[in-house]
Amino acid sequence: MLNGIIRFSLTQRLFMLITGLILAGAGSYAWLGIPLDAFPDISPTQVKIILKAPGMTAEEIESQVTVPVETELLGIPKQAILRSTTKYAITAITLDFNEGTDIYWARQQVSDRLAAVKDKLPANIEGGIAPMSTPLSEIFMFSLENPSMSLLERRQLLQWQIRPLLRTVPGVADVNILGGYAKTLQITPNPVAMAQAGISQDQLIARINANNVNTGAGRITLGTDNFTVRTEGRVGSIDALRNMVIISNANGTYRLQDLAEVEIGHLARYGAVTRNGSETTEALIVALKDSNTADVVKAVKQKLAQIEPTLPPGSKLNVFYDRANLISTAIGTISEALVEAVVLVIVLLALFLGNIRAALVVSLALPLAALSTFVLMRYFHLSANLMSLGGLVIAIGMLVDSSVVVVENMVNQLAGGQRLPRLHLIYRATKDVATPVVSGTVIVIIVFSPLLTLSGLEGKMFSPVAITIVFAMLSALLLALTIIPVVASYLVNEKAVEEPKFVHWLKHHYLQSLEWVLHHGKRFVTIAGVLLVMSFGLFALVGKTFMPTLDEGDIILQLAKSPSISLQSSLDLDTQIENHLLQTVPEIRQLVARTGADELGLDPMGLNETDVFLQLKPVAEWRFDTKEQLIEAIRAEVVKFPGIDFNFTQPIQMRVSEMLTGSIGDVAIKIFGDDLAALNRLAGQISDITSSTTGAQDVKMAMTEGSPFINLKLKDGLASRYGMDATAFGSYLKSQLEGVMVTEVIQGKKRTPVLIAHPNDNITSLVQLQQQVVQLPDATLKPLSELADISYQQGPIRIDREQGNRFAVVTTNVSGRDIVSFVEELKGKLASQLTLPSGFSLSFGGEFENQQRATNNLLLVVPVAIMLINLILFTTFGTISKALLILANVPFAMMGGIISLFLSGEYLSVPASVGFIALLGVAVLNGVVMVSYYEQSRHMFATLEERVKQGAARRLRPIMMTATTAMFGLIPLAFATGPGAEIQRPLAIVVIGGLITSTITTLYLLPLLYEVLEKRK
Amino acid sequence: MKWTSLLGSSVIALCSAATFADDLTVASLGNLTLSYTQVKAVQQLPASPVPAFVTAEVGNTFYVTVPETIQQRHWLVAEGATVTAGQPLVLLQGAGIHHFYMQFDAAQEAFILAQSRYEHNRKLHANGTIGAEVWSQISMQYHDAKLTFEHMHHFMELLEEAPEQQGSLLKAPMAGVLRYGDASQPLADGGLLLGIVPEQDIRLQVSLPLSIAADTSAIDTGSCQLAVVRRDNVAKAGFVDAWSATVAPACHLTLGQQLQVTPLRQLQALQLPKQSVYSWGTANQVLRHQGDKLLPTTVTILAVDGDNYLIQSQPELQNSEVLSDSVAAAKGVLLGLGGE
Repeated sequence: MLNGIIRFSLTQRLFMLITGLILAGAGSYAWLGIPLDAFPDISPTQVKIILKAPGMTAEEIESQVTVPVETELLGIPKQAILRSTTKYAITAITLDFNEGTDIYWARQQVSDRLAAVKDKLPANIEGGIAPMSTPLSEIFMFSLENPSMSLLERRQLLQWQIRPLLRTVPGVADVNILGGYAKTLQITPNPVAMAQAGISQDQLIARINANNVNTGAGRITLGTDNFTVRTEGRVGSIDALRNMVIISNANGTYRLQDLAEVEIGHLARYGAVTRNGSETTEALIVALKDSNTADVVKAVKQKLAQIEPTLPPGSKLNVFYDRANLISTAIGTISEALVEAVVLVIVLLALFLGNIRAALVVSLALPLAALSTFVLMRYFHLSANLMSLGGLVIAIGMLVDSSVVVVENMVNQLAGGQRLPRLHLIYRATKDVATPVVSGTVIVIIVFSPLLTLSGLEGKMFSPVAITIVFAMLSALLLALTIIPVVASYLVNEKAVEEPKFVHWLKHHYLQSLEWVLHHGKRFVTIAGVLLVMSFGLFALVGKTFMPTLDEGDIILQLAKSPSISLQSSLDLDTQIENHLLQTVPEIRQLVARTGADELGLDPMGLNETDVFLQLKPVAEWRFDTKEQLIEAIRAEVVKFPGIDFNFTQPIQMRVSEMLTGSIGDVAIKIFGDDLAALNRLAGQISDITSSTTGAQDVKMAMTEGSPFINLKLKDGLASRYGMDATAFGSYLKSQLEGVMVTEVIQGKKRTPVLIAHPNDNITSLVQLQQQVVQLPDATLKPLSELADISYQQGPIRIDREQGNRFAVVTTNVSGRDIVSFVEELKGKLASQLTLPSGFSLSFGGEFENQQRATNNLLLVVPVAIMLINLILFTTFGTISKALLILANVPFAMMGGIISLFLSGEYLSVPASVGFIALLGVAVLNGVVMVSYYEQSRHMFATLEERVKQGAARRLRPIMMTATTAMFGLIPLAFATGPGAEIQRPLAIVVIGGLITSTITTLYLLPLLYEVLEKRK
Repeated sequence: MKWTSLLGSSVIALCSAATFADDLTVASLGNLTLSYTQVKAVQQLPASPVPAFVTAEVGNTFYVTVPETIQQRHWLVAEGATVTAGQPLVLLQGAGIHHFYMQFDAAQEAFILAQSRYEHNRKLHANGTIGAEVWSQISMQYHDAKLTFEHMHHFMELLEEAPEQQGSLLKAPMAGVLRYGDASQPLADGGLLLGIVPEQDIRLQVSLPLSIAADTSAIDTGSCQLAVVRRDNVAKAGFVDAWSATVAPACHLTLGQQLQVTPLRQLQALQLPKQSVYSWGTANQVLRHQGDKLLPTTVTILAVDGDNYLIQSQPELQNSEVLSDSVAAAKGVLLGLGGE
């Protein structure tokens, strides 16, 4: 089949050239259409349910909302894990599905189940399935600034003018509005007037609802026409609401304004936004899962440009987060590396081939393979991101290998002086190397195949790398057998066979040194062996981490204050820190801080929690060289504000951390059980045992035990005498504190909730609560202390659940020892020292889990890959000894990788492991090039020594070409800076280091061992 | 924000476990904005608002009843208005008022006649010309006629004929606040036409919760403060009725008005800003400034007054100052928060 393809290509040269041009065009077109993002989507198929229960404690929500919903959801097939977090007034339930589950199917399943259980939930529950988003979905954020508008007006503008327009942008899942005040029409009943009119609060609500309605009455026929008849009752303004007649009796007609204050108010605030120390309002664009982020951001910006001139005078949309910046920087970093790699590879080819025409022909494989890869990426819906494009950069050096082999053989054939047609010679040259070229490519594909078996976070990150490499290698192979011979037939001439002086010089010195090695074999093997052993010793000294932290360019400073803090006090402290940072850290352009929960509840933070978004000036204006130094400077300022915990993170990193709930830290020990007190006690014991285990560092314990709350228990015997039951009492109190939604006033597209509520600072002490006058169902009045017992009680501030069970978690990092042995020791200690009550259980997770999963995957798949490579080598060379000889190169390649990691100070991480896997392929390929020539030239040299020396010298150029192109192709990545570079750098460093050692061993150790092997025959 | 759950929950346990927090030094609060507020002593504490009525004490109202059925009444003064003695209040019209004049004339004539007869016969009785039985009858007739005439005369004194309006004007018998009688039905003989409430008898009747009734000394209506002058000793559904001093015109209250008022309790208390108080377990505390130290001090909140709390008086807080800025961060330090 291979011969047929080559023959067809060379007989249909014009067709192939046109095909090449079409391919280039298709690739360019595909590139323009590929979804662009900074990172691959690392989220599983996930459906999130956000349910709000205003005024309810965490424990109440858990029992009345979370548990019924979870019970219903647990029956859904294909689910991987069900988690929930319940806090004051909100519960977030997250259902992760198995890999590959269709998100729309998953959402439909959850929606059906939720609908089935919704009737069983308390009446005032709001919310449902959250927008279809991922941790990468928060793509654009801006604040609305206008000094002449109040926070309420600004929020109205965002909510009702800007948000609906932005939601029309394709790819926008939702627009989260934060900060300011959500406008309401607030009805504050006057209990005295109500009592005088003889109307209770429930009757008032019923009357408002009954009046605020338009109904369709039907139609009447008037002559030849039909007229629709409706009744009008709906109010459209606050004045109309005030004038609504509530009751009319012998005493007179009572309008709403006679019985209550009707004012413009706002919903109870669960969060706020500040900018540079002043309160403001913010909009956050949430992109749909699988949308093209770059396109969505672009469309959002276009829409905002249309909206801004229509806003009230003085309004300014202040953008402080734009994912497009990160995308362009990250893609720019990688694209720059790609271009530099291409240039370096072309220069190297020109240098080694010594012929610009041949170099150009080989180099042609690079852009064409890249463009073909883009076509395949688009076809398979693979987005262009740091990882997928990184894969292309990694492959650059290997992409030319097939073409190098083909073209080099071609020029050798052409120089042979055989009296055959030129095209026939080219055909023969291509055909001769087709099988080894295909074998080489298959070996590389097999080498990278283990990456496709990675699951979890590492799988999501590195699958695109492997897929892109496979796409690129297959494209390069096809090009090497089709278009490259055709172009070579036009461009390559006999002059190309002349060896450049540089290569000649290289070969001369190589032969001299090889001769020394062959004569001092034992010494060389001993030195190599010692270095190998030493390098494995170095392995223990290399730092280890799961995944390097990606630099997103931005900084988020997270603050956590006293858990029971009020919103205003929280904002006061935030403002102090914000103003201080603005004054002392000139690198900060602006600060936008979010305190508490957001509108959609995608991130249900407490009032004590603040995420301060630091928008930085360009690096050129910094006092520091690195972001780490800047963070250190910020840290030095933040510590001056004691009593507030802080943490540094980044926008995407923060969301990813939230996605991996409960697994922050190397090891997370989860204790499952129902009794909160027992959970906390066990968590304390486990924390102590963990701390006493060698290697434990930063041991933290999260408990579900909570803060005090005020409990009102109805004196039911007394209260029932007045017709007051618990529901009515709760509802009445809610109207005094949180507010009860009665109806809505619709003005055009604006819908304003109408609330029975009281001013925010209505009750600010327990004493006031006790003295509060309650209007009873019969409209009479009574002090609250007469109706209910009031006491302080303790309750959970937050309840975390997994698979329907409550849990507490202890996390720890591990330092100075292997995590697996640490976990084994800890398990043993817990088994002997901890007594778990009936119904309680433990589970181990955390990054350890990810590492172990990745290690287990690789430990299973890498040996299989090596066996397959061995099989291919055995098939190629016919003996197992030759195959093993080539594989002997692998440890020395690893040695270089380890040494380079140690010298560079990089950590051993998943990307570094991927680098070691890549090394496997390159090291084997180099060995194949060398050994295959020895086997081919078996009858060309008189003696074995001559064959070994001359063979090695003749393979010096291709080996150096493949090694240096792979190496120099990665140099731009090794030295790249900017967002995204840090994840590719360890990989590049490992491959470069490994290539140096493996090339040395291929050039010296392999001939030596081959000679020994042949002599034994 | 997963990381915060770790720290948040652990400090809560600390908070609930400890009853008293340790002292703080001012220096330990770093760059936090610190300001202090002097604790003030107060004598009066506002309680939560309660319902009240503007009403008149029963008994002092001057009621005017009519001696004849009145068909028509045209009020010249609005109900609740303050009137002066002699001020025309209502135009009475209809046959009834003419009947009344005729009755008055008849009563006057009957009285003159009875008086003449009485005077004439008194001499006869004195000299024994007529017997005691006859004299007694004559006397009784005379006094009946006099009583009837006087009764009508008193009402007549309030009337002023208004021929142009074909009726009579009724004038106020005294100064006070006018209250109408029942206007829904014809005013029959003996029916209540109006009442005049003396201004000094208009007071606020307030329903005080039992818990604060004893020490409530005044009532704040928003426009004025009124002393509580009397309170019942009978509880009605958790409340006790109390009466204020006379409602002054400056209070701008209307008789019959229902409103919410703030009872003012007579207690020795201390006043400090709301933002200086933090919760510690189930107690409330403030940080008392003493030299370079901040001493956590437990307080009992008695009432709220605008942006201040009124707390139970305790010697160590008198004349001292408390931290009133960055208190939540100081609490964080007490809880062990701070750092990365």
